[in-house]
Amino acid sequence: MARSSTENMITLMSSDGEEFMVTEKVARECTTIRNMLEDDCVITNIPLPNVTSDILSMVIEYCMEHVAAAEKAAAETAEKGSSSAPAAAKANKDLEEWDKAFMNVDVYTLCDLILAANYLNVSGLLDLTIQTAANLIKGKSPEQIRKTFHIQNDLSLEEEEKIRSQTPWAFEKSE
Amino acid sequence: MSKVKVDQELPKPPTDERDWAGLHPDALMVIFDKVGMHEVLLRTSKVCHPWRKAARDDPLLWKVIDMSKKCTDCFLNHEFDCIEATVKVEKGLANVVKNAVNFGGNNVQQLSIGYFSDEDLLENLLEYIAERYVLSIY
Repeated sequence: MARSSTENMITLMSSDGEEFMVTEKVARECTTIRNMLEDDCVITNIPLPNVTSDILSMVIEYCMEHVAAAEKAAAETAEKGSSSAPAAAKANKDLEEWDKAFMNVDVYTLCDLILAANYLNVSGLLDLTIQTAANLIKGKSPEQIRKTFHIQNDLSLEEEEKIRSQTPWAFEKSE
Repeated sequence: MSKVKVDQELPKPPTDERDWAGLHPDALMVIFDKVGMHEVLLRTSKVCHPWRKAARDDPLLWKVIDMSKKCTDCFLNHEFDCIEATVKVEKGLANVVKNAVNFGGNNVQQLSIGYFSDEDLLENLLEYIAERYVLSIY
């Protein structure tokens, strides 16, 4: 099927009823939505009963930024005949910086973003959020992890004692 | 052509949103894979019950357990003199291997334990492992 030059718009509706109009290209960044569109190309309105407007707007922001970056790179390649390596490297670095700034969120938002990225199947965002979570865990003691992620310690004293005896002091790095 | 009915579209995700202890185990496992086996074993798995369970059930994490000295040296505290620490470290290492085996269960496909200078300790450890697995040692 030939693609028309005027892009189809898709309306995504958050769980709290807010509507977000995005281009089909942006919506297609979500594999879950792309599959739906491929199954039935006349869909224009997609309710997402499990994603709140706050989180959906962030997911859309991420998708738009990444679509724009890809389009810019493609346009530059078309213009110059070939892509210039330094320009591409800079663009990559800029996008990485953008991702990094985008991940400057509290752990609750991060949790919601992981769930939304998984649900909508946005692989880039899922990788980014998962890596961010892993980085927050790395190098921390169990207690520090609990503090960071606001997790209640549900282990009994006996269990903690048992766990402590299973792994030696030599491996425990305390602050 | 019919418009697709809207409420049949997407499966419901888990309901425990905004809760890191209740995050879906699949998501936790992907995170744990990035954190790495050693750290999950020694720290991350001690956070709470759901995290322990996710760590234990993660098939990728325990596929290859490398507890050879060369590998574990990098996260041992270096403030101890080698000779003095050897006995203590080996005992500790043996415990860690046992613990990894307990955690890894049937997910373990390859296990490297490296060199032990204390033969009794090594024998005890191998017995412990052998009780759980059919071994091919090389």
